[in-house]
Amino acid sequence: MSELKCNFLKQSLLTYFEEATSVEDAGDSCVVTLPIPTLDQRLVDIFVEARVGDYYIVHDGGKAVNELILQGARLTDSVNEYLEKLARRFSLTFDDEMFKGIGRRPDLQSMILGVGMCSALAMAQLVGHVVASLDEPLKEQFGSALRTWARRKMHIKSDVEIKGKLAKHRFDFLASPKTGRGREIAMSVLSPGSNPLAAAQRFGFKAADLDSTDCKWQRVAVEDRAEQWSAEARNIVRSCADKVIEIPSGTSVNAQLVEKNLHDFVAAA
Amino acid sequence: MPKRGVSPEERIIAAIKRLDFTLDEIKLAMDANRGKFEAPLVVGRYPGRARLIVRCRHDSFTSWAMSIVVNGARFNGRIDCIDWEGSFVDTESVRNRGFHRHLWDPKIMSCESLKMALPRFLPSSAEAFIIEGLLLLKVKMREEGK
Repeated sequence: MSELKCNFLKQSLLTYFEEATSVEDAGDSCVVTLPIPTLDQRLVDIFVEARVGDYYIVHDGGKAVNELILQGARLTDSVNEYLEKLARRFSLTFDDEMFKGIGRRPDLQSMILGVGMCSALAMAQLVGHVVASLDEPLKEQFGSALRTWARRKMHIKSDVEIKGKLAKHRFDFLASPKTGRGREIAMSVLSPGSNPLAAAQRFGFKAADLDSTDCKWQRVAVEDRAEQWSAEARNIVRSCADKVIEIPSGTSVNAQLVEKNLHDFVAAA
Repeated sequence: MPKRGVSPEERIIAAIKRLDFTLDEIKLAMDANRGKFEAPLVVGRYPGRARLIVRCRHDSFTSWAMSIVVNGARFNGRIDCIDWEGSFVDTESVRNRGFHRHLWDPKIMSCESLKMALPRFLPSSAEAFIIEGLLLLKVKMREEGK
């Protein structure tokens, strides 16, 4: 192609980018909207905040993750891993559900483009994604039922981390009595996966590691697809949990089920 | 030409949806879950599952959003939503900015492309966002003490 045509192309692209890019004030930050279309028919928004000296924080305001969740996607460990890898490729971080970069003025443009690209590429998770009720993880179903059941009795926190003697551990839910009396109850929803014994052993390690600390939380294990657990795996879970809730496939998980399993347990605590 | 009937998704959008949480309970749950809330909705005569998702992870209104997601035999996904974008083309084909509502398009079974600007929707806090947003989405919270 002739140089004239290339120059024209460049000029028309620059005009397009200029017209399609907006930078607006939004209180403590500037919102940059780039002409990068996402799979869910948005343009990416990037937030730029000035910090002390010549430093800036550039982030996506958690909008990419927001969009995934709002469309019914789940932020599983593998999705988180994908988003973290994506951020690293652009020399950014994925932290607190947000793509983020910190740098000085000369880095600003590349950080803005990088965050924009990450935010757009994150939406690739929606390709082929089906928000199937059957695929809704038991953790979510149990969490909804638990919150409904607990609303007058207990505070419920999700994804609670605690440091053991050897490692950091995570419980899916932590229930704390609203009255301040009674012990806290930590709950893990256990999926048998392809190796129920390994899942039971992981739970066993968590329990054993916490037993050697001052942690006084009671432990509840929720066994998903209860019929798939081997006797050996069941024994490990039972010996490491104060209460086991078995949930066979196809069980309707609701507040009544939680009440049935936890009422006496909580009363005794 | 035969008139098109109302689809189940449109019926859900138009119906009052009951949420078994009071405002205080929603706020408590959001405080405990870093600005995230998700709970089932009760919709009369709908055999599938419907749920409300609210995200107010950060102080800035630009990150506040809520949606209704259904899991049914006919459709799985988001059918209604309120969120903020720095730039979007509204239903009048005008480039706009700010809060908007995603409108369900029964022809393509999606609410991603039609966005109705909400120029008067200017919540001053996350709590106001929840109250005003749920009102728009026709989600009725449980009243205190009931």
